[in-house]
Amino acid sequence: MKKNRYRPAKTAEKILSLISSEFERDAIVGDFRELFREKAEESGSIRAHVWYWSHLSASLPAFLKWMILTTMAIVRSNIKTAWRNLYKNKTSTFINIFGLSLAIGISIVMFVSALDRYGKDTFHEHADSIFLIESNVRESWGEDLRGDTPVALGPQLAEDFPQIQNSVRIHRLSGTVFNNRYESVENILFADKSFFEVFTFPLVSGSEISLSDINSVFISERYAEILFGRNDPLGKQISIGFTTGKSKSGSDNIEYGSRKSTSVKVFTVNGVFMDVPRNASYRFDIILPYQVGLEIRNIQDNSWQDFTAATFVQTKSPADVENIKPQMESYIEIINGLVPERPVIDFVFDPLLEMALNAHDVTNSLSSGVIPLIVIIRISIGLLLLLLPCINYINISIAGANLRLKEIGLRRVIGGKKSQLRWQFITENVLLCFVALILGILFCNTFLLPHWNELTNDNLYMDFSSNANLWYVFIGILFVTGIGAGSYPAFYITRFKPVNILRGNQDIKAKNRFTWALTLFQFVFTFFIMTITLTARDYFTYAINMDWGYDNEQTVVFRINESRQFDLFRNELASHPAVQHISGTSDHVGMSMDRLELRINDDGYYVEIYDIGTEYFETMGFSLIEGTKFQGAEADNSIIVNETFINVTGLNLHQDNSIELEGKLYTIIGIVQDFHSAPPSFAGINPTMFRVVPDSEYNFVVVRLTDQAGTQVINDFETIWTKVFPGFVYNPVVQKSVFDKAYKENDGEMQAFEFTVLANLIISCMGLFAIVSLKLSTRKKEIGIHKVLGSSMVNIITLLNRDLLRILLTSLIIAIPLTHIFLRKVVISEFPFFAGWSIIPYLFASVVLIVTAFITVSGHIYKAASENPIDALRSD
Amino acid sequence: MDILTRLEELLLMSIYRLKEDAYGVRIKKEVLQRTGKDFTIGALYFALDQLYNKGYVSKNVGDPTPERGGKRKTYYTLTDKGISGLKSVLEIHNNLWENISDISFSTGYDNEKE
Repeated sequence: MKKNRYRPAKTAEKILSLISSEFERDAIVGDFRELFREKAEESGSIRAHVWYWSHLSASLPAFLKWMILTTMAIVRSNIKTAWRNLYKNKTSTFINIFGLSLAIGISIVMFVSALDRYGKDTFHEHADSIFLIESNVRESWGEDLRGDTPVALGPQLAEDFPQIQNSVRIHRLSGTVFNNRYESVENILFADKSFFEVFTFPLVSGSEISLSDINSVFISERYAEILFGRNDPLGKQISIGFTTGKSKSGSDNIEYGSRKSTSVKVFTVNGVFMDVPRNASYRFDIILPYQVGLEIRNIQDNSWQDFTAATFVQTKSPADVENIKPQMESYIEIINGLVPERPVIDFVFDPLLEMALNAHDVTNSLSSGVIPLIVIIRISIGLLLLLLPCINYINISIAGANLRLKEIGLRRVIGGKKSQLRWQFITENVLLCFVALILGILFCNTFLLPHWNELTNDNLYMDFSSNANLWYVFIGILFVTGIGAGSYPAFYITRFKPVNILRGNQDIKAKNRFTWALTLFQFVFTFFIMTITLTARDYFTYAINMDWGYDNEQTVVFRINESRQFDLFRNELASHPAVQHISGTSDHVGMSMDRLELRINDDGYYVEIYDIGTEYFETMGFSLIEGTKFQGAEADNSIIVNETFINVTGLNLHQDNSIELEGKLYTIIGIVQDFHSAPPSFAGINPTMFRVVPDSEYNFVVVRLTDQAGTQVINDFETIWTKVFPGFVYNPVVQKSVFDKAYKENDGEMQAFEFTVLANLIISCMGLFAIVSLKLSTRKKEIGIHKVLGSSMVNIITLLNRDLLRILLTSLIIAIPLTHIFLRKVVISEFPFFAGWSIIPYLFASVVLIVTAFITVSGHIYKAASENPIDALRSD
Repeated sequence: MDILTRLEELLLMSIYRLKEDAYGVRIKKEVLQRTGKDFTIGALYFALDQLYNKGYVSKNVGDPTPERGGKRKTYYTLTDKGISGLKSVLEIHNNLWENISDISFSTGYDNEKE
């Protein structure tokens, strides 16, 4: 009983001894006891307990300070030792840092591209109170969230709701911009006059007011330099040719917009704005007043039937949106009264700051969305790529541990704790990773990202200031690679008993299952990614060289701005001996078409429709499978379709051969063989129709050259062109090159992939190199004995290569089926014209893997095998 | 050599005075009695550890006693470096205060001001 009086609470004492464990624990706990006893004798046990607890908490700040100081001292000494070790093992350090920084560089590109949609549009001053209005539309297949809205909605909202400060409508059309020194097809933005008030795109010169003047054009600084060089652009004129049409969808893109006739307008540059910031979710170089867009599209300003690409509102406060939404029912009634087939369910206010994030779920969004699958693939590649150098580090540390055993043993004997030793290892690796991270970031920023952007036409960059995500990525990389990869060797090596190490009994097993599995993984992954890349490359080469269903070598296309001049141009050209056929046309394969929903017996089909000239079929070299061409007066009511159209709709030439289109009845008179209207690599063939339009709607002239004439003959046509179309840039396009832009992007992505594969191979082989050299250094004696006992060179080399061969074969056995399954499940679905399996990518990848692996190690092995055995054996 | 801080001087003097008996509780009490400064045990050991790291004191471990719950005491003794540190503090102290007998400071300073 009496004894208990002098014993402080167990918990308190436990806490104390835990806190002071790194310091003078016994003395401290003892002192507490002694004073406790004193207090207890003086004024009773309760007071003593109170004293104990309060004194304990009063001591905490000092203990905390003490702990921090001690830890810092340990870290400092660990870092010093780590530097020394890294410096000493130069080859391993080089391999680790090189591999890691390469992998980090590439994976940062992957992560940056995955994170690209975050942190957009933050530069707008009023970003918080700007909303994009989206509408939920009921389609036959479900609900569709759309980014485009009726033209009348924006002004009506501003009128009806005092909470709405401004509304801005935005539309985009493509147009051919030209002046006397330049011509190109550009995406042009049309915006209401409040545009510069709502959004923050600062003007360099000119005035915002001009946006209400329908003769004004605003251009970016960048574009001003292209058009006018160093001259002051203000007050200068540019011409823009629009191919106008009836398309109602919100976002026309350059290749497939609907074009019905061309009109050229002249605009005066009345404002130059600063280049659109990199993190803008929608980008543009040219702005025209909104009214111009309405005029071109032939749409009324108060139309509820026609759509604009985006309607933004700026509210007085962000919370106002909740009050406005329920009062929009009346608009829904108006719209649904006019377009009953696709009723609007409700409107959604999408905050500007989230627009880019949500873009993938919104049809026709102003901002481009990213397919989630691609984001996942990129992140996985980034992570897997980071794993490879980590594996190298683990393998090298363990293989190299043999050489460090003495150091480890000694440190343990002189009182080093296990935990200290572990921290030493982890510090070493964190330091290594830190250096690699910095090199990786530099490599990424100066080489990889610029090349990636150039190759894939992307706009990626490292944003260190406004986007905190990037810092998380860096810290994550450091944490995962540094602590993750450092831990295993740290725990593995400190497991050994110091006595055994110093006695020389401890030997790290030559075959460590774990490192073996890691190396296996490296090779499996390398094979996997290499085979996929090769298969994809194979496919694209095949797709590019596919028969397009028409003659693409000998056809040349001109975009004309004046359909009235067509006859003149044709007659001039026809006399040229190299010309075989000529046709004018409104739409043209690969450049322009319309998409519409065709209703046949209550089923809707999305079809592509081309408005063409009568000679178009001969000129393009389409082959008719059945039926006849457009002929005579019948042509106006006739339609020719492709094979896919017949297969999908079930119509045919004989009984079910009539189609109602825009209130007119057409008869199918012919079936054309399927052809490619989009790059064959990714796009399949859609149901397609052709109908004839009069000369006045021609936008293109297509010329088919004779087989003998090379395409260089088109240079001869320039004189004819300048005679017929004075002042217009001569810009013929050989049909074969219409998909070049898409191909180039595709090719860029392939090159990026191939670079990744190469990096993969290099990292894996460097790891192999390091392990083999470390392993050989511990097998010198064994080799020496073999030699002394009469083994031949060949025998020894075989012996040494056996492990390598085993690991390579095992990895192939695992990788081949894995790759095959992945390709079948995932990749093939993306390739519409897959030609069938080829063994070549598998074979090629296997050979590359085996050959590089053997070349990597052969030097080492030869050296080890040819060494004089005496050197190895003498030391004992 | 660095001049000892007041805190260091305080602790070292206490250890010196306690001779053979300089361990945690006694040092704490000695400092309290002589200067009125009440260390927590944590703060005391933190300060002692820094003295030890700087080489002013050395440690040796005593036997475990039952009234301390079987824990050993850690005794502190001055090293040569500690002693010379104290000596130089005394010297500096004497130099600074030489010929100053009146501690009030007030007169001369106030006169100048007025």
